[in-house]
Amino acid sequence: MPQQTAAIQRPPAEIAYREELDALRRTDKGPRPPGWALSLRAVKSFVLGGDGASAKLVASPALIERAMVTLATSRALLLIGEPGTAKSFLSELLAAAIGADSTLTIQGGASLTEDQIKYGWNYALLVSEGPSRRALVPAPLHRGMSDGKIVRFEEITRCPLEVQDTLLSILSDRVMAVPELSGEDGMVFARDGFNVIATANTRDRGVNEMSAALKRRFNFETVFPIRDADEELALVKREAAKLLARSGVPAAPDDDVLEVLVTCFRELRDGLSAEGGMERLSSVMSTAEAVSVAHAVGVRGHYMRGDRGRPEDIIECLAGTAAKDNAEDLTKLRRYLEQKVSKRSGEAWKAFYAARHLLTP
Amino acid sequence: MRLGIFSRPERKTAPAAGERLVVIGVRHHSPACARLVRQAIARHRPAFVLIEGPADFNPHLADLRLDHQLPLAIFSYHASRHRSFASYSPFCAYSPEWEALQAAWEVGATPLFCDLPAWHPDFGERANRYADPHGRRAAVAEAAVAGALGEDGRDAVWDALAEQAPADELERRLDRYFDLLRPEGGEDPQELSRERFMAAHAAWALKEAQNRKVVLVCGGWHAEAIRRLAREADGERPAVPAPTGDERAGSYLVPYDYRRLDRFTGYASGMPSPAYYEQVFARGLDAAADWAENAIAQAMRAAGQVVSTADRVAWHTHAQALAMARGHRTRLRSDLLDAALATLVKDGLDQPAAWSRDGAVRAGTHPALVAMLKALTGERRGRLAPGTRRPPLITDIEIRLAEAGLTPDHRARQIELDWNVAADRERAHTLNALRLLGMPGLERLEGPLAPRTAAPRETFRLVLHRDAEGTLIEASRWGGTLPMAAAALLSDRAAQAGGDLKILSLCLADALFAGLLVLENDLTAQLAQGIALSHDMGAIGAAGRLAVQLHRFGEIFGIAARQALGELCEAVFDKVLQTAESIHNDEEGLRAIPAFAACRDMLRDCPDLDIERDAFLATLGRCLANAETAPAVAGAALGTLVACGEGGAYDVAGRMHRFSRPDQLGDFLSGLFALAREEIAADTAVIDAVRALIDGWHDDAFLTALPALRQAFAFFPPRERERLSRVILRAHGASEAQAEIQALEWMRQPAHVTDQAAALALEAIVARRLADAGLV
Repeated sequence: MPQQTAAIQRPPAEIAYREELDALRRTDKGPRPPGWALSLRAVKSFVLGGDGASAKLVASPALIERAMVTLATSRALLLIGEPGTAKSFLSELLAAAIGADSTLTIQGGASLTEDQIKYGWNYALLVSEGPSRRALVPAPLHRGMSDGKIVRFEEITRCPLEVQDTLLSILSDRVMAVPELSGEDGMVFARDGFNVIATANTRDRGVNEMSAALKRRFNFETVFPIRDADEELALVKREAAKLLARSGVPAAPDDDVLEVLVTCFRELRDGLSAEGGMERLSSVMSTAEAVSVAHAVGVRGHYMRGDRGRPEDIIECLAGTAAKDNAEDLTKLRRYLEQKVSKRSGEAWKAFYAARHLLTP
Repeated sequence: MRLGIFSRPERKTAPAAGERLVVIGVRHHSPACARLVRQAIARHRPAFVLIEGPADFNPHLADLRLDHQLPLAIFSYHASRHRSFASYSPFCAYSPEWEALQAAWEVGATPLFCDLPAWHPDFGERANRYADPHGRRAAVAEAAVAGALGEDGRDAVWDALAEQAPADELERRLDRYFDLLRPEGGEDPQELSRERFMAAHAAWALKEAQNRKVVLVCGGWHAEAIRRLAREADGERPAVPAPTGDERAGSYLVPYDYRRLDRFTGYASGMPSPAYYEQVFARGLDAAADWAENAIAQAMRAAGQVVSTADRVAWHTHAQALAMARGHRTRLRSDLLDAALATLVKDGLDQPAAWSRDGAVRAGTHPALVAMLKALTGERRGRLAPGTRRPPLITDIEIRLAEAGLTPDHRARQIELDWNVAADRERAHTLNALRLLGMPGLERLEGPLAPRTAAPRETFRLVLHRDAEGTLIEASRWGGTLPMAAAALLSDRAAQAGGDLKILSLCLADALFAGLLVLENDLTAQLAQGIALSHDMGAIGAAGRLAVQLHRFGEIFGIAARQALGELCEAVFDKVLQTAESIHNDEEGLRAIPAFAACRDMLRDCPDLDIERDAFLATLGRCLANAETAPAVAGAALGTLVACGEGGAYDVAGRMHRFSRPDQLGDFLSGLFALAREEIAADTAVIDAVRALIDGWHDDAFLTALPALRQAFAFFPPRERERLSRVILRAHGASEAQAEIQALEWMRQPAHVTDQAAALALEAIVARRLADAGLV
């Protein structure tokens, strides 16, 4: 990794994976859609691994294919799903691979205004020179359109409807009018390669409130939690190790501790255990959440006791995760420990069960 | 393709020159395989075409040559005393097995089914012969292939690998695919006897065919194993196993439909989306994709979803782009569905798309996806050609219906039946029995749910239904005549019920309405056994009372039913006899009272029952003597003895003293009054004893006992209660006239009893506090 990026806490994907992207670009012989830096096949390899690239994300290949095809056609892409299912990461990877730039990001929120999406003004220049291209401060959408890049719109459903609707004409006509300017600068025509990836999560104000007109301009893709238990475990292991290394913890928690953690998250998420049906938690039990619990377990173990983290640490961290949204969940979690976990064999499960008294809100 | 998936050195799969046995491994219900099979048979012009299918159907192969409308299935059943089993071998226009049959007849070859009969124990519990095998190893291999090809799910892999394969490459691809699932046809203990059986047929056919070839069409899972086993077989024709002794087995053609054939909706089926694959077979992948786009758009519009022309353009473009991105020759099923999902569904999903995973569509699937898949399922239903061989049950039913003037017609009609009329009774039996077999087109509109002693009146609606024939053919697994089949079905249901008396009572009702409750069939024994298994004394009591009532007065159900009901009464009696002494719980005791009442009726009024009167009376005596016995049971025991005229030996009032605690007396009296109300009402000594006991209680004790006492006295009708009041008032020194007026008032109390009790409780508290303060 280049020297100057070492200090950056979290480099964007196109910098973090620059070498992989370069290698893919060199070997990529497939046809590229206009404005794309890579072919569809190479983008898929970049995301899911293959052709010399590492796997960065666990997702169904069909999902990635549909997403790429959407971006190559005239509709924008909306990724929806539970929090912590790597929607934003997927959009970052796609933007990095397709347009070589994942930084054109609009962060949705209640206070978002139109000028944060389209363009704003340098008021000193505006006052002294009047409206001019020099005085215009392009926001991500302006830049994306004029440079032919992917624009990411995070948490689109969290911003006011009228702001959402500024996308309408841009997505259908692929042109943005700047009425303050005249001539060529007055109309920004989208270059090849421009498109929008929005994300929305199912726990917030739903997509139901989006206007039908805007919905029509998006193709919806639901991102699901990881289907395969082994894959999820491997991912949690990998990501937790990375985070722990960054926190100065040399060793990740033991495999059986992580297995207890991932199994427990999956069962509480799906409402289905090895012993049969059970209640599912309404709190988000995502893979990302599991990674952060694994991280916390490792940190507790290393800095508080000097070991690699024990099953009882999971209980301590779980209370915070599970009771985040709903106090009822704590009761469900307690029932899960009493009724399901009590029957399991294995050292880690036993220790996990024995520590159930630590579960306090 | 990635390394490691097909890394084994190339195996020589092509049959050696001169090898006469051509085994074609197929996936059931695959259009590509169907085409391959036809071409192979036309090319090899074999003497025999052996097909994976029930060998016991071979004598009836001509049935399949008739002019049927597909899809249809060979329905096989096997019934013994211990198990009833049914299995289907479905065929549709694009089934490789069906094409093999047709092609064989065209080239003059002899087609034969060469697999074990469906009922054979080694066949297992498979409900569909042509379902895909689901081994664990196979699943791992399939996942690996899917990963290597970049496809999502088994069906997508299959389409990419086989359905779009160029004709000259298909065979090679199939061999490699199946070899990957089961390398070199390695041993599969579960399938070994089937494979041996098929291989033995192959060896025999080779010998018979002399120098001509033999083609064998089977599931790809078996192909290599059969090639290997055929070389080991001795060339004797394997005997088709026959059912033994009292077992019944048979195979008949039944109409089938696409809904049942579809993996997403049917059960244990093979390929999904039959209507789509029918198009693939008939017109090719391109035309099928166009057809599917139209069908899905129509279905979604019909379901109220907006599918605009712009949406269709986006969908079509998306599907084509996906096909290109995935390296497909044309738009395949997964491209169409994935593109539809991306472009037409404007919601988050609760679970991944159904086509990317195994099994049926799950609850909670997005309605748009359900509509799409349903459009690809299609609605085609098969119809059997006239003259197809039918099971004897169908003829039996037709004769019965014709004799009763009940032959169903296209026009629906209502049939009103009055059981007082003998002819109507017969017709009611027939219709109720058909209702049990689930005959479509027959509905019971009105009629009592439970049998009563009065003659029932019933109303049925009868119409000719297109599914009726198929359903009744399938019902032939239960028996060759209507009463046999319906009774066998009911006995099976009774056997499944275990000790659940709710189900058993329903079975009993059904049996009586259908005239099936006779001693000759298993049903009565099965019901009696269910009663013996049950632990619910309350339900046993209810069933027992019904049985004894019907036994005494239900002559409308016939003499045979009366005998069978007698047998059920005896079962209830035995059960009560066995359990009476073990009831120590107060609640359970109260619930058991009706069971004692049923036994009392049997003892008193049914002299022809074979019941152990003396043993029962002795048991009751022991119940009474045992201090552990629940008070209600003790009361019921005493009541039964009194009602049967055996009470003389017992001092009723004296016995009562043993259960005279305020929390016991009410329950004890409930049992006593429930069983011997008339006898007790006449016995003033008992009432006096109760009065004396209560007089001795404090107010608190009286309030504790009050609810149970009220319940106990509720067994007396109002007139008798009034008389008892008079007796009590007289005993307290009131004159005859006063007692009469007061008793009348007691029976018509203006304030509710609970309010009075509350007032009484309050007064008691006040009195106590006054006493504590020394004010009284």
